[in-house]
Formats: sequence, C-alpha cells, structure tokens
Amino acid sequence: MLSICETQCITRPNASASTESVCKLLLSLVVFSGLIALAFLHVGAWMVLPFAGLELVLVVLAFVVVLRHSSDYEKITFVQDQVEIEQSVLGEIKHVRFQSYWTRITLREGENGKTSLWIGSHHQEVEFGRDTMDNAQREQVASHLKRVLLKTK
Amino acid sequence: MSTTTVAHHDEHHDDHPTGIMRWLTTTNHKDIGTMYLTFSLVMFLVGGSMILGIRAELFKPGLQLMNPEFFNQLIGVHALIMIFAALMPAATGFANWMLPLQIGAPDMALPRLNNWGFWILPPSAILLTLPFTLALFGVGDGALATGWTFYPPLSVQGGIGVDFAIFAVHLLGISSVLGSINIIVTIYNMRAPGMTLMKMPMFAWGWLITAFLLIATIPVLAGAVTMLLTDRHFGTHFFDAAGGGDPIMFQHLFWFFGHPEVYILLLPVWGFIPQILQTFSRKPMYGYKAQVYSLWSIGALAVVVWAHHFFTAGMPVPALLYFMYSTMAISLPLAVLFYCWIRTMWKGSMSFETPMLFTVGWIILFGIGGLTGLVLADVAADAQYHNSYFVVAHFHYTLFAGGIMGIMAGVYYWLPKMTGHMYNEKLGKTHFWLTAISFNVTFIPQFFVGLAGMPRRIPDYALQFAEFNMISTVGAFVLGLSQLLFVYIILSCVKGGKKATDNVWEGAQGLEWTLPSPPPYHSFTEQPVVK
Ligand code: HEM
Ligand SMILES: [Cu+2]
Repeated sequence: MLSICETQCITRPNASASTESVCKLLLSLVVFSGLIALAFLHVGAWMVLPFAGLELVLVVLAFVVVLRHSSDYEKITFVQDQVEIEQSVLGEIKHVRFQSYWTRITLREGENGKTSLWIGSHHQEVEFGRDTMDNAQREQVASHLKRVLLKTK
Repeated sequence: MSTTTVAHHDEHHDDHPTGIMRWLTTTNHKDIGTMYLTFSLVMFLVGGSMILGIRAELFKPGLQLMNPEFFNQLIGVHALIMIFAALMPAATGFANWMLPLQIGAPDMALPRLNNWGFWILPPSAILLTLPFTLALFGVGDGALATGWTFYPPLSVQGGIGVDFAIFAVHLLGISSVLGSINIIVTIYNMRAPGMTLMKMPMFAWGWLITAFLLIATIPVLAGAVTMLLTDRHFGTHFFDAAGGGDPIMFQHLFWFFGHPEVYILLLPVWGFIPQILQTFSRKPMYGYKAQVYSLWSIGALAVVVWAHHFFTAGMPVPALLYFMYSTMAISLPLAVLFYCWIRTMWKGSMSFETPMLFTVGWIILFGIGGLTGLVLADVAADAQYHNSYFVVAHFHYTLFAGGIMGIMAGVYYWLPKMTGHMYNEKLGKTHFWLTAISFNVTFIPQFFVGLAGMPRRIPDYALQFAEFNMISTVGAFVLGLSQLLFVYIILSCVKGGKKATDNVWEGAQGLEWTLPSPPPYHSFTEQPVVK
C-alpha cells in the first residue's frame, strides 16, 4: 500500500488481515481441532493428538511468518535540502540520507519485466519498494520524486 | 542518526532458472498451479486405466483376467489415486492459479511452502503404486487389498502394500495441510484493498472452508493410519478386539475424516461453478450471501454425520437416528445451492460454450448423486444398499460428475486465460457429449445391479447381473477413451490456437479477467482496488 504527499512517500506490504481477526481464526482452529483430538483421546485413539498439535503449531507459525512483516514500511521524506530514506524491516530501522541536489532516481527494468526503483547519490544506491509496490506504483513514485527534486535544483 | 548502505539483494525472487530447475525450485503460483494440474491429469489417466482393468474383469461373470487379490488391489489404489492424486490436486492447482488472481494478490502468501506442498505429491504417488512393481520382482504381494478405506482387521493382516499406502497417505496429508495453510493465509492476508470477506469471489469461499475442513480432519486420518501401523508392527492393539481394542473405532476415525473429505473435494467446485454460471448467463450470481452461508452450513454438518458410512456395523438406535437425520439435513443447504445455481441461469441470456455445457450437465448429474445419497441416508434402506453397487453408483455421480466433470468445466473456462489460446470448441463439445453419455451408460446400470443386491469389490458375480455389467463395461471404456480427447484438446490448446482475448468470455466477471491472457509471470502490475 502506497501513500504519497508532497513531502513524503510511504509504502507498506498489503496486509488485509487484522491481528484481531487472525487471533480469532487461530483460536477457533485450536479449539476445534483440540476438541476433536481430545474426544478421540477420550476413546483411546490418542495418536490423533500429537498430529493435531503438530499441525496447529505449523498453522500458527505460518501466520507469524507472514504477519511479522505487516508492520514493515519504507518511507521517503524531504527535509530541507536532504532526502531521507527510512526502511523498517521486522522492527529494525535503517536510515540513509542524500543531498537533494545530487540525488538521482533510477527506474530499471529486470529481464522479466519487473522494474526496480533506485534512489542514489555518488556511490551509494538504495532500492525502494521492491516487494511492496508494483511497476505502475514504482513509476508513479519515481516521477513524483523527480518532480519534487527538480524544484530543489 | 546512522547512515547505512543497503546491500544489494542477491536473492531476487524474480530471476527464475529455466529448464527442469525452473520447475523444481519455482515459487511462482502459476508455475505451481500448472504442475498441480498436470500431475492431476496424469494421475487421472493412471487411475482410469486401473479401473478399466476392473471393468474388463467384470465384463463377464467368472474370473477371466486376474486373481481376486489383484482385483482388490486395483480397486483400492484406483480410489486412493482418484481422490488424493487426481481430484484434490486439481482443486489445489486451480487455487494456486486463480486465487491470487481473483483476490488481487501478487502471489500466494508462502511461496516456498507452496513448492514443497507440490513436490511431496509425486513421491507419494510412487509409494502408492510401487508395490505393484515390487511384486513383479517377487518382493511382497502387491498393493493394499483393503479398498481405500483401510478397514482392520484386513489392513492389519495385509502385506507390505498396506505399509506403503500408509506412508503415502501421510505424505498426501502433509501436502494437503501445507496447501491449506497457504490458502488460508493468502485469503486472510493478501486480499486487495477493499475486498472484504463478503466481497470475495465464491471460489475463495469454497476453498477457505475446504482448508478449514482439511485442517480439522487430516490429523484424525494421520492418527488412524499411524495406529494401524503400530498395530501391524509394534504390538499395539488399538483395533484388535482380542487385545482389548476395537476395530469399529477405526471406522469412526476413518469416516470422521472420510466424510468431510468428500466435501473437501467438492467445495472448491461449488465455488467456481456459480462463477461459470454467471458468465454464461450474463447475469450477476444469484444469492451470494445465501450461497456463502450454505457452504458454511455444509462445512459444519460435514463433521457431524460420519457414521452414516457404517450404519450396519451396529450402533444404538438413538445414534442411528441422529446420524440419519443429521445426514439428511445436509440436503437443505445443498438445496439452497441448487436453487441459487438455477436462479442464476433463470432468464439469463445464456450461451452454451463447453464450460457451460459441462456446468449444466454437472448440475443435473450431481443432483442425481445428492438424491441417491438421501436414499442411502435412510437407515432402514441402507441396511439393504450398504456395500452394494448402489453405493458405488452414488459416489460416482457425486465424485465423477460432481467432482471431475466440475473440474473439467473449470479447465475449459480458465484454459484460455492460462494459455492465451482458445481451445477447439467443436472438440470440446464432442468431449462433453461423449463424457456425459458414456458416464451415464457406465453408472446407471450400477444403480440397478446394486438395488438387486450385487455387492461391491467382488470380482465375480451372479449370472442375473451379467447384462447390466456388460453395458457398464462398454460405457466405461468409451468414457475412458473419451478422456484421451480431453488430453488432446488441452495439449493442442497449450501449443497454439486462436489467440484468446483478455476477457475471453463476453460475460466474464472478476479480477482474473482484467489481466492479459496469459497473465504475465508476475500477475498484477497495478494493485487492483475493489469498490
Ligand atoms: C445430500 C447429500 C448426500 C447424502 C445424504 C449422502 C449419503 C451417503 C451415505 C449414507 C453413504 C453410505 C452408504 C453406504 O456405504 O451404505 C454415502 C456414501 C458415499 N458418499 Fe454420499 N451422500 C451425499 C453426498 C455425497 C457427496 C456430495 C459426495 C462426494 C463428493 C459423496 C460421496 C460419497 C462416497 C465417496 C461414498 C462411499 C464411500 C465408500 O464407502 O467407499 N456423497 N453417501
Ligand atoms: Cu458421507
């Protein structure tokens, strides 16, 4: 998901599940499968239980792996004569700053038609929105950035 | 404030290898979908040839071609292959191909898991059939001879074929669970902005409930076959009455999984059938909400009716009554679905391209499957029909007509989207008529012989059943051979043919039709927003 305003661009992974709805889902799966396994345990078929347990662990893990990234974001902010890029992956935040005057915006095309957006100056380059944006959005961001940067030149 | 350089990513997931490595390592949902569908088609032919052996043996009374042991092995492996290696992978293949496209996601949520889920399948299919080959070399006595239901004590006494099948079922179960987890996560977390649950395509609903059922029931199957294994080799007595166990408990375990399984096979089909209907009726689908609620009710009822598969094993009368009425209750939401399907067509401006032919044929034939199920749900009647050919005919109307023919409708519907070419319409229609007619020629006689008392899983039979069995065998061979036409149509459509437009069908609705045919390797270059 992408939001653009004059001084800032933010992109985040599209996460349509709220933590609450996922918790509800997991709880219902655990209760349901758990009840089934316990019922069979009660009649002596205890081997259902370990399989159910193993499987529920897998389900929870899968959601953890996916939702871990839902608070990630990438942000470009224009502060006076500088461009600041902030990338947060799993709570770890990285900052890069460039002088607006020297900043270049490059849109490259990969071999399978997927583009990549690079923001750089001198020897340093940062890729922006690799997994969270599609080609059209990258193009949109690129032209927006170029327009804003032009004003500083 | 620290300044960091972002390292170049070496593991760009978009530069993909070519050749065989592309398929072994792919995490692209369309590649994986294609592999599932291809695997399904191959196994459909394998399972089909096995059953033609059975029908050949049954052409005449008496034993002609094979010994009874081998006959039973073929029947059991046929069923396991058709259910786990043909029908389930076909539904999963469509899920992989179409769910991300339909909900506006760039891929499945867990692409690597998706790859593993598929690659577990071929080894399990090999495990299942390997005992046949081993027997040729004098190792063991062939595949499992218990039918697909593994009932003890036969399965405890059987040869190595049972062990192979147990491991195969474990792998198939793992594959299904991985697939289900992926689908649930994808549907929950990857929907396009604006697509609330109640705006999801029906196919997503069908699959969501399927995935729930799989997650609830696969551990029961896994536990049941593992207990069989320990009974066989490690001296436990779970199912051995002499050791204090209970063979009937296996039937409870098996059918607690097995009954939901039949809905697992059909719910995805119930998802896309209304989408096909609305396309070729050029009308919006009738009763979206009613259909969603019906799917949920069927999913819920599916886990509380299992004992209708062994009414005759002996149960207290209140239990018989409970299982009878709860089973019959399933026909209520099913009737709502039928009503919605028919109302979707009502006064529509219909056209009958191959997918629609298959869909309309599907409604009628699957309807027969449902109605005959109602007959079997009657405890008193079932005392007569249980273990007879009537049951065989019933579940082929549900699983071949309701399952496979539904999948075929889906194949014709989406093939132009997937390949970018139109299939040959004339051949497609021929395939439909050949399939529909020969299917009925094969299975209607089985209702008759079943009503007259011919038992299932028997290589020889009384003279009185000879004519109907002969007709059934002729039908089966026409049915089997007609599927070669299906394979030919698919192959030539993959190779070439008239260019398909993006929308393919005049009345097609849904996000997948906004993409080019075939869709690019990475689906959405523009995040779709649902209003
Ligand atoms: C209203 C709907 C249905 C009812 C009331 C119903 C009822 C039954 C009953 C009572 C039996 C057990 C017969 C016996 O063994 O004596 C049976 C068998 C079976 N049904 Fe259905 N059924 C219905 C729909 C379906 C559907 C939709 C499917 C599949 C997608 C299906 C698949 C099967 C299979 C595979 C068996 C036989 C399993 C075996 O013994 O190998 N049924 N059905
Ligand atoms: Cu059932």
